[in-house]
Parts: sequence; structure tokens; C-alpha cells
Amino acid sequence: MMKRSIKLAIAGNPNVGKTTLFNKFVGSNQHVGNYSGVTVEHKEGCVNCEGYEFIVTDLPGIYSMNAFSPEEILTRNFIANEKPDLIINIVDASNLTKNLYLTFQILEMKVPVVIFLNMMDSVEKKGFEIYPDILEKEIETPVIFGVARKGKGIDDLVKKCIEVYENKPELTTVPYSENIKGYIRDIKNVFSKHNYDGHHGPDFAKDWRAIRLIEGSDTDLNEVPPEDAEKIHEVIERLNRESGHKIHSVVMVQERYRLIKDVVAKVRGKTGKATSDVSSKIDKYVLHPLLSLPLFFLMLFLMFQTVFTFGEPLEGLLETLFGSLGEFVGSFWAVGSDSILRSLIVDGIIGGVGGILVFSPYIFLVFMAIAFLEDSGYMSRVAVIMDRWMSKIGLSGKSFMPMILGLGCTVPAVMAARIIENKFERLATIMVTPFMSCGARLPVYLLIIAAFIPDGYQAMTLLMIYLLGVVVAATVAKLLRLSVFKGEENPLIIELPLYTRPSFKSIMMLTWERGKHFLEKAGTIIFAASIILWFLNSFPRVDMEHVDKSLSNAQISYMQAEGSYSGTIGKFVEPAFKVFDADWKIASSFLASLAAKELFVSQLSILNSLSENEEGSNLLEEKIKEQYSFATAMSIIMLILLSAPCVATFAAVKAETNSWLWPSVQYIGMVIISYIFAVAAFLIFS
Amino acid sequence: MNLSDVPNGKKGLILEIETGKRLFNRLVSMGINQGNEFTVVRNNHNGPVIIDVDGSRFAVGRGMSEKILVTET
Repeated sequence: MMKRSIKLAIAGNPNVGKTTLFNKFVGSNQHVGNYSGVTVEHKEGCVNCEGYEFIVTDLPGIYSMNAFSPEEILTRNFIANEKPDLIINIVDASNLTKNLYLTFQILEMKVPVVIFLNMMDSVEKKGFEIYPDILEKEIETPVIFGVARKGKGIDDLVKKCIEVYENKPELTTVPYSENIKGYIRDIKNVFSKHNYDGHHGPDFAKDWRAIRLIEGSDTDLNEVPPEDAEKIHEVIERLNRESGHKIHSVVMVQERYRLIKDVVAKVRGKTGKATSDVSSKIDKYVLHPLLSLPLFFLMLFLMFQTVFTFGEPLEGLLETLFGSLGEFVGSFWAVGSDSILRSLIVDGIIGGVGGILVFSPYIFLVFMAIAFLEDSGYMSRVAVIMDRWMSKIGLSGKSFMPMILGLGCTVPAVMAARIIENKFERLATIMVTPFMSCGARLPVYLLIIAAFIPDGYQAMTLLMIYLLGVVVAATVAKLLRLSVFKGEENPLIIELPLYTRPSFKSIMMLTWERGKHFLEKAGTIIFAASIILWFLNSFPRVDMEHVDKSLSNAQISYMQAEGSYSGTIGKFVEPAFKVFDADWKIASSFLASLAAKELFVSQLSILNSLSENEEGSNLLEEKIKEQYSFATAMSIIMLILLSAPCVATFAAVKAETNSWLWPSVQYIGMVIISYIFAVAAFLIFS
Repeated sequence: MNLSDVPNGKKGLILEIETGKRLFNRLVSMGINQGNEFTVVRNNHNGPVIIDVDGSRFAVGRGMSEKILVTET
């Protein structure tokens, strides 16, 4: 017998257990599908059950289908274009009214729907009960109830899906009032006379389009020929006049809620008093006017502490691993060999890619911490706590987390900006996040501070550097929001879900999903950049035949570096660095830092003919102290702090904005800003 | 009065939402709709107002809360 495959999609409000249901349904057999570049992703998974193959898609959580957010557009297009066999609409039984709003909009699209009433266990705690059988009758749609978290009701759900798929029952018609039906008919009459999209389609497609027009969808109105648009406009005008509403979309909204109110009244019964929930008690402290901030900073501190405590040994481990790998691969060549292939593989690829991959433990740990905060329900509270301050720079509370993560590593920070729905706000956040000083810049500061700042003032200087980054980020964000990213004001409206104990499995899945993305997307670009950098540093090659045999390895490295393309480029751009009294060595090291910030230190050691094992010692400090003034040192700090983001960040910004424009603008803009600050710092301190 | 004027712990009824189409749709789809009852969970007179509507908890930005007309019940 041929296996039948059923295309399923899970849709529902945010925080109702959609992903939990999805995970219970398909297990670990899943992947993030079709990363469409609009920063919305949906997951797909496959599972075989009772002789059927289920292809399940987990759609993003949405409140409505008005196509105002990327998530809503994705969901709407998915249902309209992919035509899934069945939609599982997951509904929070303890919040029926709000959840049924989306249900009605899905039913309007005339697709087969099975409703899964989730969280039946929390209904009781809220002091009422729900009658699923009555709901099923009222909205003429199959209803299954259970608790996804505990796996209750999943088997029934699978059976019901198969039953609906096989029997293809008649699709539900939402029972709007005769009045509304009349308007829908009037609009349909206008476009049935003409031959455009919708004309040949089934009747329900026209119904749905008519409803969207009543709701005031501009995109739909633009698709209609002008003479029809005129007539449709007349119908809508009449509707507004007769209903007495000022904004036309109100009519459909109130009609849906009128129906929902009737349904809920029949489906929900009161049993007793609501027991006071744990979430309210936790929120008393978490959102307390005085305690909220200290608690939040404590949380941040613990988070960074955890990331660094576990990250450092892991980083060390990876460093050793890549080191031995390099040695092992290098051992295929004779000792002292100057084979180009060996140099490419060992220094270029293993050294370059490995040099960035050693930071992946930090990135994964940061993602884990975020997943923990999201899963527990704390993340949305962070947005609330910080909103007051963030709104002053034209952003909202949701921008805070990405920016603070930028202090660790810019790449996950840029990716975390996904939680911001508003496009302009998201772009502004992504654009300024690299100003937040990431961990890779720290080795550079430490070197310069150790060389130039007297003992008692070192920590203070470091703090000032970080603060300057924050101030520049805030200023640029404000300027961007006042100019390029003006857009609509985006006030915070966020649901605060109940606190839940995060599940280890879901944290791990979320972490892997996002981390994998970093490895894939950034990995390819880092690979290419490593080869380019290696090439610039290694060619033209020093002619080993004619080198004075008495020279040390370090001196040969210096000759190689000075004569190489990167040395030549360094000398070529030297005039720009001369402005603040720096030389070609600084210029070349700076160019290396464009690949990864900490490369500044390694390149500078090579150029000062220090061998690798001396790198960490005080020698380099002594050397730069002799060569550069205090003012020049401050200029270098400005360059490292504020200038162009590293390649991995560039790759992440390109992926998140799905454009070459924004990462390029960011790159050039930051170079200009950092240069201005570098010159200014030089003038102030000299 | 506006939502931003309702003190901690008080109940009210949403009368009118005076925002653009986009925000209006966002609010109503979350159940913050005309004719709905709410309880103010927290209102510090700066920062977002936190309300409870039908068992769901929402934080509404200060500016936004000034555009929601309500009456205390």
C-alpha cells in the first residue's frame, strides 16, 4: 500500500505551546526551513504514524492575520500558497477570547482546521471549566483537548487529523451577521465582473479577499483595477456610514468579537475562585519599581559570569585542538619546509578559521542563556524594565537584549535582534550593536592600557572605553531613528507569559538551531576571508635562498610581513594613520583586525619581530611604548572600539537584513566615525 | 481618562483606541479591545503600564497607554 503523506501546519498565538506541540509531534526529526531572509523562520519536521507520513510545519506565533508583521505575512502566504492539507490551530484554553480571534481568521481562509485546546490543566486554576464538545458544535470544527507539555491529547490529535484528511468534511463558514454578509456580497459582485485574480478562483478566495478589503488592506486594494477600486471604496464608505465607525477595519474586528463572545459564553463555565498564581508573585519582585533594575543587573552579571566561566576552558580546549591539528597537518612536510600549500592549510585555513571557531563556545553559551531567559518567560519582562530608557534613544525595550549581548560577541547580538518586530527599529539596533565593545576587542585594550596607563587608572580607563561605545551606540541609534529609519513610532505592546520552568531539551534545541546558523553562515565567509588574509600576509614570499642564515625566525617573519601585500597596503594607507602619528605597522595590524579584532595584537607582534611564544609577554608593551605617543595610543583605541565590524559580523548583518546595502553602509559609516574619533582623541591628548 | 491615569489594582473598561490602523489591529488581536474589561497590575507613572485582560497579562508602552481611552469601574 502506498503511504499517504499529510501536509500539516501548526498555527497559533505566541506562548501557547506551539513549539512544544511541534516537538512532541515530530521529535528531533526536524529542521529550520526556508530561512527566507525576512528574519522569520518556520520549522519543518517529518514523522510516520499509523501508516501516514506527516510533514509538519511550525509557523511563527501570531495574534492575527492582518499581514502587518513579517510573521503574519509568512503565515498568511504559507496557508494561501502552500495549501496545507490541514491546519492545527493550537488554542490556549485559559485565554479563549484572545485565541479564538486568530481561529476565526484562519477559518475565514477556508482551510480544514483541527483545534487543539492546550493547557487544559491551567483552566481549573483560573477558576473555570471549558466544554470542548460545545466548542466543537458552536464553531463546527473538530476540537481535541489536552496538555501538550505532558503529551496529553497528542494521540487523539493524530487520529483526528487522519480522520479529517480522509473524510474531507465540509468546511466551516463563519456565521457573520446578514448585514456583514451583504457587504461581502456587494464587494464580490464588483470583482466578479472582471477577469483578474480571484475571478477564476474558488468562491471562498473571493470571500476572503472581500473581507480583507473591508478590513482596509491596501495591498489588496492596489491589486484591483482602478474602476473597481472606486466601486469597492463606495461599498466600504457606505458600510462605515451605516455602522457609525470612523476606522473601517473596526467593523470586522467587532463582528468577530461579537461572535467570539457568544461562543465563549456557552463554552466556559465558572467553577470557583481563581487561585493566585505563582507568576503574579514573581512579578511583584521582577517588575518592582525599585527592585527590578538591581535584579535585572544581577541576572545579567550571572549570565556573563556563567558564559565566561564555562567558555574560557572550552576556548582553551579548542585552541589546543586547533594547535595540535595544525601541528599534525604540518608534520606531513619536512621540518623548516616553506611549502606554500603547507602554509595555506596550516597558517591560512586552520589558523584563520580555527582562530574564529575558538570563540564558538561563547556564542553557543550566550545562545543557551538567551534560550533559558526566553523559555522561562523572563525575556519579555526585560523589555518592560528597559523600555523607559530605550525609548529615549528611539528604540524600545526589545532592543536592549541584543545590545547588551554585543558586549560579549556581536554575532549572536545581531542575530538576537530578530525578536524586534518593527523593521526600522530592528535595523537601527543591528546598525549600532557593533559599537558595543565585544570580547575580541579586549586583548587590544589590555595591551595598550598596560603600556600607557599608570597602574591605579587602568580599570577606570577600561570602563570609560566601554562607556564610550555605549554612548556612541545610543547617539547613532537616536540619529538613525530621526533620519533614515524614521518609520512609524513603535510603542511597546508585549504579552507577559506565565513563568514556566524551562525544559532542558527545548533550550538545547533552540541553542543548536541558532548556533548552527552561525557556523554555517559565518563559517563560509570566515573561510574565504582567512584565505585572502593569508594570501596578503604571505605573498610575495621572502626568497629563502638569499636570506642571511643568521637571522632568527622572528626576523624572517618581520621581513615577510613588511614585504608582503598587507605590508605594502599598510604602507600605502600609512598617510591616513600619520595624521595621529601612527605608522604602517599600526595600519597593517588594523587591516588585519578587520577580519577579527584580536588579530590586531598578533599582527603587531609579527611586525615587531616577536616570535609567537613571546606574544603574551611584556615585550610587545615595551616595544609599542617606545614607538608611539600616549595620544596615538588613544587614537588606536578609538579605531579598535568604533571602526568597521569583523567579517563574521558583516556576514551576520548581511544574513539578518538579507541585503548587501546595510552591512556595507554600516561598514563605511563605522570606518568614518572611528576615524573622526581617532583624530579627535589625538588632538585632545597631544 | 486614559489608561495611563488608572492607578494600581483598579479595574476599568476600554472605551476607545485612538491609534493608527496598524497599532489598532495589533491591540485588538491581542484582546485589548473596545468594550473589554481590564485590571491595572502595575502603573508606576513612568515606563509601561501592565494590565490584565481576561487572564492575559500585557505591558503597554507609556505613549500607547495615553491613546487608550478608558473608564474606571
